[in-house]
Amino acid sequence: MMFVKRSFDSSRPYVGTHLGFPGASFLQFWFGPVDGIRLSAFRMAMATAVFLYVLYRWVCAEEWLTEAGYHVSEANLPYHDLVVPLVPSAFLLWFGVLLLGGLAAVIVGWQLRWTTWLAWACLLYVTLADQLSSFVTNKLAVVALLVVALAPHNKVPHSVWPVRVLQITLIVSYFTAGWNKAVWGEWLKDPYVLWSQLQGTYRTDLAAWMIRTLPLGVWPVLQYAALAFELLAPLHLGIKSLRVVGLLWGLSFQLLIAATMHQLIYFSLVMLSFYVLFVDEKLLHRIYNLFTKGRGARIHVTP
Amino acid sequence: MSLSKNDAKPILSCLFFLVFWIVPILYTGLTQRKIAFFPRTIRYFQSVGNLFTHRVDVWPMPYIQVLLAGEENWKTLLEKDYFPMETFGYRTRLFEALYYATNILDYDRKTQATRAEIARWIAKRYAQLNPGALPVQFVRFVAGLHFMDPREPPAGHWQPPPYESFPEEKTYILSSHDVR
Repeated sequence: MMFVKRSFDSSRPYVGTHLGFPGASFLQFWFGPVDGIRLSAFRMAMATAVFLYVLYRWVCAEEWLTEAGYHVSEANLPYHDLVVPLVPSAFLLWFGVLLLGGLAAVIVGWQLRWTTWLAWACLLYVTLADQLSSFVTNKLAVVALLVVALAPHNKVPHSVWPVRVLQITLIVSYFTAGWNKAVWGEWLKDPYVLWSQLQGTYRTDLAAWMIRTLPLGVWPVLQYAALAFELLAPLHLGIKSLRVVGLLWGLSFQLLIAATMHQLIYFSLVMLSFYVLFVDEKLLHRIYNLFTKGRGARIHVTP
Repeated sequence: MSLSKNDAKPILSCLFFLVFWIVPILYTGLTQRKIAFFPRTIRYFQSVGNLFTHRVDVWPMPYIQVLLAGEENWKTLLEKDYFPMETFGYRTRLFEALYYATNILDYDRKTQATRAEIARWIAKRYAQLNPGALPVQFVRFVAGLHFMDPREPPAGHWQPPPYESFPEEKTYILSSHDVR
């Protein structure tokens, strides 16, 4: 048995995928060829989501990243021990140019070989520098950009592993979120957890209107629908024939979060970026060509 | 078995994400335990699926109060002057520091130390924002409690009312600090 000794291009097979032994289907799952459009679409969507997230925060950049704001001392760091120096105020503008410029370059696909690493490094830095304002949105985006940075940047078919890692990330994120709510939390014990959570520090005007207007009996229905979506993610996102249902269900789930929980629009945009990895490749090509008015380079579709 | 240079990168990259990301976020998400042998910073990234799990019947609204030299009454500061950034929802970085970055239930050493350093920072910032004003001698963190009640639905988005509007039984002092 030997792994194939060939390079990754459209005319050659991938790691072990030409072999007939039993593990070949496993290798095919992780390293088989895939059309480049999915990863390219994901890269653009994710970088756009992160760009908007960072842009929103940049209004308070001085508090966020410089000595002008309060920052927990080294002795009392709450979540991790890595001490990262803050940005000197004089360089804040230049750091912003690097961060937002790097992300913009990733969106348009300019010099991806190094701009992806630049954007990733800047995002990692801001995530580590201020522990008080880094959340799951940051963590998912940092890991997603790292996958993109390590993945092939050409649009011809490439090894599918980056797509698989990202797809599984979404499924595991949803499933474990649902598991935590059901097993460790109170979502199965109390039908009004969602109702109570929406009244807290996230509450938007729309959420307040819903709480005032909707009958109390609607809230358990919404709660169990959300929980079912998360727990069933391995099925409706994992099984190809159920994906349309999963994606539409998830889209409404994320849009409701974005509309009823302040600032979680950025979390929703990051999560929705992962959805393009499950969308049919032909549809992605049609959208791509629509945006480029047919001028864009034809991206090869793997049969 | 032989591996070419071209095969090594996808295999190693994939293995890296399986070992450092997929398996840990699955394990941590299912068990609520972190994998001990990873460094704390890596473990921090591996915790992603633990939001909105419990019912919250009381939402605290934190306020900053200062006692100036020679004054007898506490003065409530505008939080936005000191912590303008909204982090997650309408929460500020002060809210994060008081309720999440420290353990609100256990008034342990680290919690008190963090609050004390925020208090010192606020005193310093107060002097910068109010040149010539009386110096701050004490800083305290107080909270007004917002109870969930279906008979009193919210009128609009989350917006803490003036601290003085809370009845006394719905307020409490988180901690008080001498910053002289």
